[in-house]
Amino acid sequence: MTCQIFWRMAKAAILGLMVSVWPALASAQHLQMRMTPGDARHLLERAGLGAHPDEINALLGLSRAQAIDAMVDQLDVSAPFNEPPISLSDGEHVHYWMLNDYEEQDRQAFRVERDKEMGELRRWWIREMLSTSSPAGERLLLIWSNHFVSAYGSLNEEVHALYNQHMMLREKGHGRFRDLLRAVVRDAAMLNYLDNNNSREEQPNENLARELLELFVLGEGQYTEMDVKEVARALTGYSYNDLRDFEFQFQPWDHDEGSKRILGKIGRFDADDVIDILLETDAAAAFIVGTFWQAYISEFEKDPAAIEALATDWRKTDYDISALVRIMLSSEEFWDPRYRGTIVKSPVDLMIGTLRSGGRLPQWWPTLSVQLESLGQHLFEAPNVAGWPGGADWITPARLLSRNEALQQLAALYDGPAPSAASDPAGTPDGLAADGMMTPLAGMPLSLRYGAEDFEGPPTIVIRGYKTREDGRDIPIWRSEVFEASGGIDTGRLGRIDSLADLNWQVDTLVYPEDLDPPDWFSVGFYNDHCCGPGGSSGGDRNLFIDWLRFDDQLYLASDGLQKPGCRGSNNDDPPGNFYCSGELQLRVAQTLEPEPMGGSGEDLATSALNPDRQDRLVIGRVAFDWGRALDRTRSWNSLSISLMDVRMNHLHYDALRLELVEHRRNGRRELLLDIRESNCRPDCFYGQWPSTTFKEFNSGEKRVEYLLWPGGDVDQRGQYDQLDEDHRKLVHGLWSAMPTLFDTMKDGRNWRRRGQDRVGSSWDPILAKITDALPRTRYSKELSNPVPLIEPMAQNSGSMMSAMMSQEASGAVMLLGMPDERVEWLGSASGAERFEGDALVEITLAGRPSRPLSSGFGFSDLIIDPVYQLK
Amino acid sequence: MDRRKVLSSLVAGLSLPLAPIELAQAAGRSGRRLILVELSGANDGLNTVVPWANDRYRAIRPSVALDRGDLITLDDQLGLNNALADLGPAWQAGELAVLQGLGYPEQNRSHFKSIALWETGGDGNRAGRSGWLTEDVETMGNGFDAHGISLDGGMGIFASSSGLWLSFTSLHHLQTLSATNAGLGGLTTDSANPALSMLLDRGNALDSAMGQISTKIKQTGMARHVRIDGGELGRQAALAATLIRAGVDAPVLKMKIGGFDTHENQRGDHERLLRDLGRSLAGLRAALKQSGHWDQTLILTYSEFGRRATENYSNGTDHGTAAPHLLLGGGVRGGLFGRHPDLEDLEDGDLKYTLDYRAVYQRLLAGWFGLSDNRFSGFDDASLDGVLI
Repeated sequence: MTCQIFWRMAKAAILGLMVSVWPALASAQHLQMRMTPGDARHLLERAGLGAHPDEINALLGLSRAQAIDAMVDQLDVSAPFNEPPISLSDGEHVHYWMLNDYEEQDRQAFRVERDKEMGELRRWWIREMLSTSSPAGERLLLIWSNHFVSAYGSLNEEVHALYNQHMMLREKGHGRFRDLLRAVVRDAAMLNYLDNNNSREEQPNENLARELLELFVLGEGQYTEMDVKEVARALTGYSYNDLRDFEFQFQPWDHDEGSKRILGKIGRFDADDVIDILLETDAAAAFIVGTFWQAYISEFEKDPAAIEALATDWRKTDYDISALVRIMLSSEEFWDPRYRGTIVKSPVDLMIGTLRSGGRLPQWWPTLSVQLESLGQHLFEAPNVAGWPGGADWITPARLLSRNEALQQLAALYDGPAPSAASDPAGTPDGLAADGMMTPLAGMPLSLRYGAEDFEGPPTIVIRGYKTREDGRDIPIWRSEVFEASGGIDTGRLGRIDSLADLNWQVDTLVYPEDLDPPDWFSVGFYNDHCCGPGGSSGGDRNLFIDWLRFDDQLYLASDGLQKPGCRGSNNDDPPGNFYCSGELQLRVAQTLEPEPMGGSGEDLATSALNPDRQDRLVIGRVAFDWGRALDRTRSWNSLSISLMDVRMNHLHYDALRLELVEHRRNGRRELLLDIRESNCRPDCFYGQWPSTTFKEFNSGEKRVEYLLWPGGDVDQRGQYDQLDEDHRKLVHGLWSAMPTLFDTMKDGRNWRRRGQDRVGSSWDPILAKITDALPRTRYSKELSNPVPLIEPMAQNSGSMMSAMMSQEASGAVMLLGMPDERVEWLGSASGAERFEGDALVEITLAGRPSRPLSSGFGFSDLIIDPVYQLK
Repeated sequence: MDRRKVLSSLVAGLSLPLAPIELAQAAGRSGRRLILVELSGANDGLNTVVPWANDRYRAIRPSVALDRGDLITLDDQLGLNNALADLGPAWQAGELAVLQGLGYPEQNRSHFKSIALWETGGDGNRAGRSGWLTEDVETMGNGFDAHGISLDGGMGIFASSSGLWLSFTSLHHLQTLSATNAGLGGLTTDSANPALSMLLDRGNALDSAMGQISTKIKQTGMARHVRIDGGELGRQAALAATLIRAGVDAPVLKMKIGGFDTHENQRGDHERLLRDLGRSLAGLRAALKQSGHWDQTLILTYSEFGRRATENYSNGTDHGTAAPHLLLGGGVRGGLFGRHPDLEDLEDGDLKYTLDYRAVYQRLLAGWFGLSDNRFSGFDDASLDGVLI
């Protein structure tokens, strides 16, 4: 990427001169003033992240109006700077919808996978904030993320939904506030976080409604409790589809269609109507401007009249958010000396801002998420829906201590020599030199992915290779050097991590000698366990976490290994590979890594075509009971739904398919049919080629088709079959034929034990008998090589597979301020940051006069530990 | 009102309620303290306080039900899980109250969400923001070493933008923090900038608090440090006892024991946890009785929710609703309070709560700390009459 911040700023400045969108604002006298170094620091720290001398220099000499243009020009961060974590962005399906059917151990493994992805997402955002040449966009994103809060801890591990939300805020955060709100009330993570996904007409949940009024749009005191209840009614039925990709799903059967009275208006309102009603009030603009005031102008002083005036300006733009940022930055208050230094730097400001200001990244940058957590800002884990309160809350006594410690660490950093270029720890195997050239290896590379918690030193690791003789005895044939784990979290200083997600995962590559036979299996040993700080493990503990070992295109997942001794977490139910005490992990089970990218259907296609056992036969990865009631012939409609994972028929492959088996009385006859609905297929049902006679639900518009076992069905239903392509017809045949097997198989699952057994029992058995009896006489019995489906689970742990695949590609130096890290000027005392010294250095570093006397020849590191540095 | 108070009220963006301060400070001087014990993971109430005489109990829990022999009899209906045997003496001494059927409207079954509700005094329709007692305890003034100290590292229940709420998990940790803190205080605070004033002011307050606590600990000497059995919770209980005996003056302490999420093979795990709980609290009681602090101490357990009344298919129990909690201390009138949820009147396999947990909060704030005009005044419930002597 070649985003060059300075060029862009200059360009923006010139454009800003020529076409000023805000003639009235731009002509204001204070905006014609020339930027001083202190002005530049102020603007950059408030509207961006930190203030590096080069960024400051780029603004000097511009008018304030031009400098503001340069910042507003950066607000679009929808195209990320670094590739987002591939496990979240590649569209591969994660079966959240099946989770309830997993046994406890598998659920635990599933959660661990998601937690790891959460850690990747967190590290990626941190990297994005460091790398970006559009800090103003990241600032705006921080504001919205703290306005529309959804915390991972409360999302049942639905990290993909949270990722979608983050990307939605990047996409819509600088557009129109109305559009942003519409996206928020349709956002899966938000609907889950505020419990709206279970809000039904009979029992509306008020959480989202309340926060929409109180925290998102109007603020307290602008509505009544009755308004909350009525808005909750309008939001009923707003849910999402976890069978697919967490897209919004309107559930008309749960929606309250009735008339509501909201802020004095009456009508059959839905969420969009509510948003329009809220945005018609005067309170909305003032409330949002108040929020922006705290972010951009002051946390400690409010000027209601000024806020009112700015809100009036904003309403004229029809809630254009970019315009709002411009309005805030152009206000007299933004530049007023009395408001400077009246915002407490958040942990992100303190850590990421300082690293940007100082230039160059220390080797420990990948542990920033844990550092932020210790300061109280664990990204994606705001304490509650109101977000981090900021201001006084960042400097509570407990946090003040951690801040002090962190600032001393930063001061020490800038007191020393410039760090060498930072690299991506998880992406660069040791065998690669810094320039990306492969150093010659005498043998085969062997890679280990691990994370460490250090305590008075890192864990040490040793890897052994074994051969298994014919008599079954295991013979060690190779042993690695004992090596130290790198990148560990210092638990003595930062405390234990809350979740493995925050480990700083590393990939180390060793060399297996070429003159040795490859071993049959490996073991990974950790022998220097060390605990604890006085008073227990929370005072420090040395632990090691193994993810996988890779050798010769074989991937050994730690979770498939055998750990001795088995101390794996407090309940000993962590997956193997988590060493809370010394021990050994035996890795005997390997998967072959395909050179093909993951998730492609190429291999499936090839296998199904080649293997006669699968030709014209239904293959299913997993079957689970979904929902149903006991069959009751007095009712006209009985249904039971069954979840299928990884359904394959010849060239077709559905990640997810939910069937509804329906027993239905129509025109005095009982029908038996399979109902397939739009929301129940991933990818799209029939790959998007719906038959022309497809039904549409009148209230939701959802498409659905019916395949009757008997009788033959009406014209529409016949069309729904006749228009299918050959493989889809065979799929329908396969599903009908599979019914007895599906019932048997689903009854092994947890869902059936929990929800089906009592409720449904054997009441559907007569139907099953009828199906078996009637099937040979129907068209569905034809064309299959084997009517009995093959139940064949597909490999899980795709996240680990993915990280193993990715580890092959070394990624280059980490970017900082839009360019390779090593090219950013270092502000530490050891380098010659000569342009800003003495008072000038104070001016670009502190938002006020230092509170301590400075010794002569002071540097950046001396200023960092001044209390004033904690303010901006 | 001193300048610090003016500042903190300015910064919190809210004006501090000033009226009850005088009364509250009187309570503050009484040296009373509350120790909160979080049972993390959701404790199974039905197997903690067991309706042994009820046939329905065994019917809905064929494999995890406890027999009468597994219990300490409380009355002709209820018994306490034998794993809590160490609390037997407290029960007999009339210092242990069982508060039954605690819950809230619109039960949330997420661990994270529901514990956050208990921590902030919310319910299923409305999340709280700050810790449930922070606002009220802060009105008791600043004459403490700290308003509260978390001994498990968790600060959710102390979430507050003001006040002196500390966290240290060991004396070693405290020492490290004190050393780090050196130099934070001592700067003049008469800046015109309110943010800077607050920062410097808090640095000074923290400096002096840490100094006071460290000095008190040092003066007691290592020999007088308490040891209590009961695993990680026992360690925290011992730290609590050490602090209290050293004269560290903090109205609230917080501890935590994890692992109560007993979905599978519950009985053994649950009994181990309760044994640790019983030992820790009994040890704490003994230590504080010995030092003469027990009458000024109140201990309350809490948990995100109870577990389902009906057991699951893995010899365990899933996330449920109402549960009883324990209140013990020298100032407690022992016995059963509130009403046990009716096993014949389950809601989809769940107990219906019989007492809003915030009624307990109201009693503690009003009855123990003398903060009668508190955040939960509206939740008072007569079934708790007499629980505090």
